[in-house]
Amino acid sequence: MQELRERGHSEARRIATNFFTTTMYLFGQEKQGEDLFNSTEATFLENYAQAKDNITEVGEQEIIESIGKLYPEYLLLFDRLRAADRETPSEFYLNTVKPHLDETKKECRNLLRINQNAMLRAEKQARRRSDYAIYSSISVLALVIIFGLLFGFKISRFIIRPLHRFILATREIGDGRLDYAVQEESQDEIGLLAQEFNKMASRLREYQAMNLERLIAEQKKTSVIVDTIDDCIIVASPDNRITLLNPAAENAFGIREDLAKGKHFLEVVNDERLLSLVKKTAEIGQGPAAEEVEKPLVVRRGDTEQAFRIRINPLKTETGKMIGTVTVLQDITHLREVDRLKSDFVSAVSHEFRTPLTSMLMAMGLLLEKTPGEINEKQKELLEATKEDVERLTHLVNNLLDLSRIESGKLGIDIAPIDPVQIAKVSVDLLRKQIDEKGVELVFDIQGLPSLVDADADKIGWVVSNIVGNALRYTESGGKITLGVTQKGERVHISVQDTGPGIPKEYQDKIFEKFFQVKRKGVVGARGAGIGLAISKEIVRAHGGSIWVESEEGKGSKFIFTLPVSKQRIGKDTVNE
Amino acid sequence: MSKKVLVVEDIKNIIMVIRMALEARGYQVMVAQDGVTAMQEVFSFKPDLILLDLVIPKLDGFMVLEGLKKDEKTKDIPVVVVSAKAAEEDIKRAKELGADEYLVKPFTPEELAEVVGRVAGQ
Repeated sequence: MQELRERGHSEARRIATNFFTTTMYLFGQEKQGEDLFNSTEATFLENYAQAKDNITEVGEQEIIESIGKLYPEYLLLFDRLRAADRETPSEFYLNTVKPHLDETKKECRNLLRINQNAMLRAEKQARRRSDYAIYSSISVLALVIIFGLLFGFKISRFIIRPLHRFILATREIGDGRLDYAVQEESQDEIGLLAQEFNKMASRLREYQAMNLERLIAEQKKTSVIVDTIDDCIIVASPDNRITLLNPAAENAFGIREDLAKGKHFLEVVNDERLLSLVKKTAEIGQGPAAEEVEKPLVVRRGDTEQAFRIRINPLKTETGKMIGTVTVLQDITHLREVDRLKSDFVSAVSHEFRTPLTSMLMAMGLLLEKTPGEINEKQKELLEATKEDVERLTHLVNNLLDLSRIESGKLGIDIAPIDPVQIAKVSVDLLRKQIDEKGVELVFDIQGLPSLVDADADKIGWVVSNIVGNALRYTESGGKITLGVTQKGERVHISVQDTGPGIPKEYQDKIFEKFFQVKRKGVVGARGAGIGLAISKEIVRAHGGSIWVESEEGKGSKFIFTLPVSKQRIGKDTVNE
Repeated sequence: MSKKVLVVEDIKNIIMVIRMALEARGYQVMVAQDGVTAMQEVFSFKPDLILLDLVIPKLDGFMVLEGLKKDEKTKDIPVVVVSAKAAEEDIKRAKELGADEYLVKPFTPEELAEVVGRVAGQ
C-alpha cells in the first residue's frame, strides 16, 4: 500500500516537472528548459512504464491509455513550440500547448485520485481486516474461557461432588448412623472408593450389632443381679434424683421404681443424714468415710423396724465425669437382732459369773488372810496363783459386760467439761505402783494449755488407764511410757507411747476388734483378754472422738485418741474475743 | 460391843464366805435367806448394818430396801447393797431408794471389810 501511494505521488511529480520544463522553456530559458526536459523525460517514461505495468484499479487502464495518447501529442506540440516563432510562443502555448497540458495534468490528477482512492480503500480494508483480526481473537479467547469454565465445572461435578458425598457419609457414620450408604455410581476410582466405604460401614454395623448384643447381655446380667440382690440399691443422679430402685429397695421404702424415678432422694428415703451423705458423695466424687456410715440407717414402717448398713459410691464415667451415686443398703436387721441376743447372752453370762466368782475370790482372800487357819508357803503360792486368775476372770467379766452395755447403748455417758490433763494424770496414779514395780519410766508430755473437753471423766479415765496398762504390759523393764496431751484445732489429742515391741502393720486395724490379740512367737504371759481396746474404741466414739495406733515393729507403739474441745469453753472464748 | 450385821442373801456359798470374813473382823452376823425373813429379822435382830442382795426370793431386794427406808423405825439403819447387778440403772435406783453403798460382786474380803467398816462407823 505504501508502495502504491509512493508510486502515485512520483507519477504526478513527473508530470508537474514536465509542466515546469515547458514553462521554463516558454519564458526564454530554452537551454535550461531543454536540459530539464531531457532529464525528466526519461524519468517520466520510466514512471509511465511502471504505472502501465502496475494497473490495479478500475479506470486506471483508460487513464494510462489516455496519457499514452496525450504524451506523443505533447511531444509534438513541444517540438512545435520549440520550432515556433520567438515572438509567438506564448500565444501558441496559451492556445495549443496549455489546453493539451491541462488535459494531461487532468488525466494525471485522475490517475493520482484513482490511486489515492485505491490507497484509501486499501487502508480501510486493512483497518477492517485488523479489526476483524482483533474481534476474532477476542471471540476465540471468549470461547476458550467459556469452554474452560464448562470443562472445569464438568470436572468439579465429576470429582468434587462425589467427594462431598463421601464427606457427608463420613459425617453420618461418625454420628452413629451406620446404615448410611454412598451411591456406587461409577466403575472408576470414585466408584471403587464408594464400594469400599460401604463395605466398611457394613462391617461397622456388624461390629456394632455384636457389641450391642454383648452390651445387652451385660445389662441383662447386671439387671438380674440388681433385681435378685437382697440389698437395697438406689441409683441417683448428681442432683439427687432417683434413676433406679431395685425390688429390695421398692419393698423397703414402699414405692414402685416407675413412680420413684425422677423424684428427689428425700421423697423416697426420708432420712436427712443419708441424703447429706449422698449429696456429699455427688459433690466430692468420693464415698463417705467408714466412720460416717458406721451408724446404720433405721427405717420404721408401721410396727416393724429395719436397719441397714450404708454404702455409697460415686458413679463416674471413664473420663471421671460424675453421673450419679449408687447407694447400697444392706439389711442388717437380722444381724442386729443376733447382736442384741449376743449382748443379752454376754450380759446374762457375765452376771451369772459374778456370784461364783464372789465366793471364789472371797474364799481365796480368806485363806490367804489365814482366817480359817495357818497355811504353808506352798499352799500360799498356789492360793495366790488361783486368786490372780480369779481376778483376771473377774476383770474379763466386768469388761465383757461393759462392752455389751456400750454396744447396746446402755452405758450412759455423763458429759461435762473436764480438764484432759487432769484425767490423764489421775488415771495413771492408779497404775503408779505397777509402773514403779516394773521399772518403767513414765513421762508426761503436755503441749501448751489444752482446752477443756466434753467428756465423761470416769469413762475417759478408764480408757487412759487401759491404754497405759497395755503399754505397761508390753514394755520391758527400763523402757519408757510417754503420756501426751496436746490440742489440735477443735480436738484434744491424748496419746500413750511405749518402747515395747510394736504392732505389725497387718494387725494395726484389727487390734480394736473384740477378742483380737496379736500373736507373737516367744511372748508368753503378757496378754489380756483382747477386749480393752474394743471398749476404749466404743467409749471414744461415744464421745465423738476417734482412736488409732501408730506403730513400728521393734520401736514401740503410740495410741492416740481425740476428744472434742468443750463447747462451753469455746462459747466463752468467743465471747471474750 | 460388836456391831451386828444382817446379811440378806440366798446363796449358801456367799453366805459362808461373807459370814467368815465379817466374823473374823469381829462383827456379829445374822443371815436372812429371803425378803420376808429379812423384814422380820430387822425388827428382832436390830442390826447396825444390813448387807442386802437384790435377787432374793419372796420379796426382792429393792422392795426390802424401799420398805426399810419408808419405815421410821428402820430408815436410819445403813444398807449396803451387795449384788451381781452391775448396771448403772440398778445402782442409781438403789441409791435413790436410800442405799448407803453399792458393792458389785465379785469383791475381796478387804473390799467388803472396808465398805462395811466405813458405813457402819458413820
